[in-house]
Amino acid sequence: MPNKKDYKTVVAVINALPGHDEEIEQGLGDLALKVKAEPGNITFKPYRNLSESHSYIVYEIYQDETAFLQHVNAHYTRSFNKMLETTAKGGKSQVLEVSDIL
Amino acid sequence: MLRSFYKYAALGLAAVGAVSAVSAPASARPSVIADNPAYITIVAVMHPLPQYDQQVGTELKGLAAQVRAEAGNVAFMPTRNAADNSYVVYEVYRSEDAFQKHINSAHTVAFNKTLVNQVQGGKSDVTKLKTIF
Repeated sequence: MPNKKDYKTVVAVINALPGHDEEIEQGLGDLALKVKAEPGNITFKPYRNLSESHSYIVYEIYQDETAFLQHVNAHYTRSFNKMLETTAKGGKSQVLEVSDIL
Repeated sequence: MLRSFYKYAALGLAAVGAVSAVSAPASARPSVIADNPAYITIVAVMHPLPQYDQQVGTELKGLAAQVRAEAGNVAFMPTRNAADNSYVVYEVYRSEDAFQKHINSAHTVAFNKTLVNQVQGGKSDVTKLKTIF
């Protein structure tokens, strides 16, 4: 039984390089389908940042650290991150690892 | 009933619902936080001044109880980013009207007033989001 205290929450920020928004959105859509099928995924919600052009934010919750690491090491996550190397500022997403305070 | 499920799951209180959500096939599994294009989603980030670090966390916990009781609130998830000692809150409201009611509620106005002297810049940094799937 998942314990909420073990949940792993991350907020990933992706800033698209000029001309790569569509590719990133498509990639996020494909990734979302696969991540949501992971047994250890609780939620995976990609958003466009309305306050800043070409910016995307993904809110993700995993059952625990193990589930998160399985997600990070999944071949489709690696493929997505590989794509970001040439489509996102800094070549990758910025991942904030946060913990529930309640 | 459906709304109740989402609300409790979002709050992390529906242990039974959460288990079934995790073990169910993805195609049959509802998102922990409902997908609805009408929903208003924001991420608010606060960087407390060092002397108010714990206090802001305590105030956020108090605010969470009040916001979660709002009729138009879907989720209010306050978290801590240990990397830069900030607080990051993921919030979902059922509509723009619900979001405006939240913004103008007595508890939100009071909370924002306390932030004036307790966080960098005197306020939270609010980013409005639009779901893309």
